[in-house]
Amino acid sequence: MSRTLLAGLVLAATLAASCAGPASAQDPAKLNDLEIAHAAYVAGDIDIRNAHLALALSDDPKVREFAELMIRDHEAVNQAALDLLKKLKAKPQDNDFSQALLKGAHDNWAKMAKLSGHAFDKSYAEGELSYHQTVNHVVGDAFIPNVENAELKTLLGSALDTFKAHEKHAAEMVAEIGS
Amino acid sequence: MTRIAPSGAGTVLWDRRPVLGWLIALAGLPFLRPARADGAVVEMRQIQFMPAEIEIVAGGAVTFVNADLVPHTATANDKSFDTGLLRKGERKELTFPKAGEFPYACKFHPHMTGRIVVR
Repeated sequence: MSRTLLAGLVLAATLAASCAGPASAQDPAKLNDLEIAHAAYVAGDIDIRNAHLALALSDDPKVREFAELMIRDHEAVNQAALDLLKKLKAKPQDNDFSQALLKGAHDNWAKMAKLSGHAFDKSYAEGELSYHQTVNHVVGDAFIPNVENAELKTLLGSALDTFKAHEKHAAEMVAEIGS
Repeated sequence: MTRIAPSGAGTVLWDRRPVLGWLIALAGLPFLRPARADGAVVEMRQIQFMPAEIEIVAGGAVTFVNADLVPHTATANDKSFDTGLLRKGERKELTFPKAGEFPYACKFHPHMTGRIVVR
């Protein structure tokens, strides 16, 4: 099993372990196209909600700029995914992996909402770096190699280019905010 | 076509007329002329400007086309030009009246940089 895929599975398993819902997270490499579309949309939506929380709680210009970027970019990628699904007359399928992502996100938001000032900024920056690293591994090593629909594969590839830029930007934000 | 010089000194002279004709014809080929300013296109693709550097003649224009999923801008470092926000599929033509070098970047994605050289 590749390190990257393992990272995705560890994420999903970790999220699922703290989840009262699904008993176990699904292997992201075994999702079908409609489940991949659902999980990718959910992952983007989680980051949009992370960003709205940051805009509500942070005064740091670097954090706010990054949060605005996340909202702008992930909304655009998710809209492109919805447009493609509409064109294909397909409906995304909910799945354990998506549910594990959501459960982990809800737990994270509950913790983040109790933070403020530098503690929030640091947690947000580090969380964004970690989230993009993990999501990029899952998209690049599990979703793209396994998705069958050519248009969805192209869309995921283009989205991954964007998410890699986000990862780089997040790493700089972490360094700038410091410990 | 060649001809012997009337002087009879044995010098071989080229008849310049066909050469001039060829030069005129070649001058009409686009690859030998500076890129037409109004034909310069920079694509925003894969979170990059492609090509990252472009050279045009003064008075020419560059069309920025967003081929990415996410919005971009092309904004001069010295603020002398700005496409404004371009969504997927949108384009903006900007004219560059004066010579100079203009480094620029996307306002949203600071690693996305380019340069326009106006001769």
